[in-house]
Amino acid sequence: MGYVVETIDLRAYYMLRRGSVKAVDGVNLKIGEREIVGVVGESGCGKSTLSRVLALDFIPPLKLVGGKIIIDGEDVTSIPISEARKRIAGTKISLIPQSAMNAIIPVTRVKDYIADVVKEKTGLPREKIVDMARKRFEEIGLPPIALDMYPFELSGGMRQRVLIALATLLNPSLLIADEPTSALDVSTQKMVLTTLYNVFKMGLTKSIMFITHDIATVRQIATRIVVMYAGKIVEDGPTEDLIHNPFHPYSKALMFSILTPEPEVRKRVEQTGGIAGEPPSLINPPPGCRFHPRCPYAMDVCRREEPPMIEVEKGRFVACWLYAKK
Amino acid sequence: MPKINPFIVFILKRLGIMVLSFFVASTIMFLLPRIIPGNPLAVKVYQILQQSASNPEMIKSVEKMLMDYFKLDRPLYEQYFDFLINLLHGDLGKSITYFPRTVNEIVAMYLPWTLALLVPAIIASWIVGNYVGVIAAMNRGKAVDKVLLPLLAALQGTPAYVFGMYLVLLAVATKWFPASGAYSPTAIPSLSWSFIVDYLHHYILPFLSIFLTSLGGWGLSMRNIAIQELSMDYMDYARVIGISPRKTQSYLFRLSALPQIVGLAIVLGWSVAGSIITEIIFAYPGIGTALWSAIQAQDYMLIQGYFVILIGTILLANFISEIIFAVVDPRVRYAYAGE
Amino acid sequence: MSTILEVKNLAKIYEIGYIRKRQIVAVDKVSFSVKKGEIISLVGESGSGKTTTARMILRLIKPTSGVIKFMGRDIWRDLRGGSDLRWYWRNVNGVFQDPFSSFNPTHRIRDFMYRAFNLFNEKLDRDTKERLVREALQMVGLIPDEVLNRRPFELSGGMRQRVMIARIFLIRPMLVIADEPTSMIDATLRLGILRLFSKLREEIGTTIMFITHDMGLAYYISDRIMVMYRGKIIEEGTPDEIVNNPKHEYTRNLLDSIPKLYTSWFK
Repeated sequence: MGYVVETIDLRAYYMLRRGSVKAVDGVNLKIGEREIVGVVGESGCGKSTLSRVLALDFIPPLKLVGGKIIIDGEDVTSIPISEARKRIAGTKISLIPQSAMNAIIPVTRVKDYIADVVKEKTGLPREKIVDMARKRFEEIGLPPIALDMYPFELSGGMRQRVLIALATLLNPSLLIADEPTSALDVSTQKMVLTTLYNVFKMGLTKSIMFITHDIATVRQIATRIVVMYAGKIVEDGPTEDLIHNPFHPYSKALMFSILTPEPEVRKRVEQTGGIAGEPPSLINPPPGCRFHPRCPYAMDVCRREEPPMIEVEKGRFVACWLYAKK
Repeated sequence: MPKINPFIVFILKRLGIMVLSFFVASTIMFLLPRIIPGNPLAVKVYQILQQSASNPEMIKSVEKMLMDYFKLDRPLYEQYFDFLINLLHGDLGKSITYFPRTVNEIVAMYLPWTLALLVPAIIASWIVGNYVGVIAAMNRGKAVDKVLLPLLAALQGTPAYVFGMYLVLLAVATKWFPASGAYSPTAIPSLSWSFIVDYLHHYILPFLSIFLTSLGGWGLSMRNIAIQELSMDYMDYARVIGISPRKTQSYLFRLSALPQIVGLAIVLGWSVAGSIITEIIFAYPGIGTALWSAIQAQDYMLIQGYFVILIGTILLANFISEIIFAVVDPRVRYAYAGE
Repeated sequence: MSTILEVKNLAKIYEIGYIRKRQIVAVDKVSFSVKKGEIISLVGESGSGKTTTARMILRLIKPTSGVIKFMGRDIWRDLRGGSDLRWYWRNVNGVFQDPFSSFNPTHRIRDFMYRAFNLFNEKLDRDTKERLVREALQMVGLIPDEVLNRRPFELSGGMRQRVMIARIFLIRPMLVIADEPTSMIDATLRLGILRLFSKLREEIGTTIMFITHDMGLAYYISDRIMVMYRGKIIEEGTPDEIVNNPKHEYTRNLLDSIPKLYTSWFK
């Protein structure tokens, strides 16, 4: 069984005048079929950039600096980007970016917008596309009347779900959702999350990559969690294992910062929680392990050399000198 | 109470405001020459009196006729009433200098020439200007934009009449185009082919002076609007989801054109005012030239009449532009209806 | 412990339209009281009326009806004129959600902090002011020299929020109203900010009123929680009471909709 997406030493930087922002700096990620991967981290860790890079959306100053991206077995970094994009956008990889509240052109009706998008890729006649859309809306529980409306007439939650419907209309292999629930009310969040999960269960998309800083939300549906820090992946493992027993000091700190009204959280909030300091500059990241300035376990080697990513247990990967023998 | 279509409510509100504004403005136009100390209107009327009469009996009858007509001996509110009633009938009164010809007659002589010049020039400059503006915005920072931006700015910064003066110099120097008039002094306006060619020959320079300078303004404003729109989330998403650049461009047009449509309607309304100085430079027999003569002659009735028409047209253009805006942009419809 | 804030039948009704008027009831006859040194939270989703309530207490929006009493004085009827208002805002101050827009982008942090002295009745000399400002910044864990000469956009969201709280440490109001102070801040930094609020209460005895949609936050920091829905307070109690034994259906739904870290809805 192949991977839907595989990246090998992926590097993408923002080329600014004052320096290059190393937002994605040596990322090795594999997403298999029928996985929901939650990519979590603080703001500025590079997770949103990663989503853009996987969608091959390189808008200056973002530049692909090195590494490979293999989508459905095909190395898309070996062909010209524009051609690769045409092939994968919407059909293999579908991205729902952050601030999707204003994603649809305000002066078009939802059905016209969907028809514009799909016609581009498939050449199907408009009525057929609207029919497809109508059926899909019903499948995922959206009122078909939304098709005739303008985006501003829909609530935030509805807009988000319309985007999910649109992004999965052509049954992509990977649906990437960047903070799909952040701007919404708690009850609407649950509804959108449910829609996302349903879309996965119904097979409308093979796999999902869910990017967020809100771990409690993503763990509801994620099969696997990937923790990013300063442009790198520091830990990668199955959801339950990682949450109950995080390995990397940063993952531990992340888990301990979460405030939900649960007895387990109550117990440990009284003692610890929160990390001192702020994430590092991505223009001049610290040498060695990027987390070492904030890490309570930092050792000498951490300041000098970057730890390799190793498989500590079956399916659990960590990049930390506490686990790599030196 | 049954729910009224919010759009109808919106239109009625706007219509009401328009009618109200029109009456207020016309009232001001009416009052000014009559209440300024020295009553300039009365002075002018008496000047006609002096000019026309040689013997005392004539003076008496002419005076009676003028008084009957201008009612200058009546109290102000009666004059105003008269004015309003006439206005509602479309009667703008009679010119003083060309008495007894009506203002309407005189306007009808000059207005069509102005409109024939300005309306096509403005519309053409709007279309071309907007197109150029979008191209510049989409290529912002690149070579195309580096050429277009200063060009548009230069054109916009040049007043039409200054440009016109240069064109006149060009005409005189090269003799390719006539430097003045709407048609040759010997030609008689008719629908004959030879006249039309002659007219167009005279038409080109004044047309260009307005077309080129207006183009700059439209281009710059459209470029700004388009740049704004390009930074919006939905333009970003259109690219991400793989919409073709051509379709994106058409979205960009639709989104950016909306404010421009309002601008167009307003400018068209103002076109009735005529590009006064441009017309004077080219000796083009439009309403601008006519207004200029009226001002020099202090023919207050004519001036009043012109301005009433002008105000009416501008308000109407404003009103129509708001309707257009609401029709084209559904967000506006809802916003206004909700207020 | 005495009551410092008393709210009785507070209401705010917005009227829309000229010909056909529509009424929007943002706050619907809300009553509660706050004792000195308490930390209470007003929890609700958007549209519940919690922010409008906060703004009325901060004297930024005029109520349609009802009474707000601070230290026994009716803040809308008993306060007149500049010095009364200064007294009020010296004692009741706010921390807001968006640390970006609260700042004038051209002013430096030092200017921002100094402006707080306008609320003071006493005249202080430059040296004293500088000392107090530095102390306040240190209390929130910032290094004064790194921050004072910067402009807001040069600081991160977390740092900006800390500056806002430093301002509170400077003014030392009796009552602080914090409107979503952590929603724009990363999870890892939230606990730090919350601890600062605790510190305010512990060291200075400030009373704090949180306005938030985040029940988790309210659960950990508050002595008492009030749940708002559609302009009304529908439930009130200690955090444990609310979370373990919610009485109102809306509260139950709200708690159900909160994603938990250690359990999943779907698996």
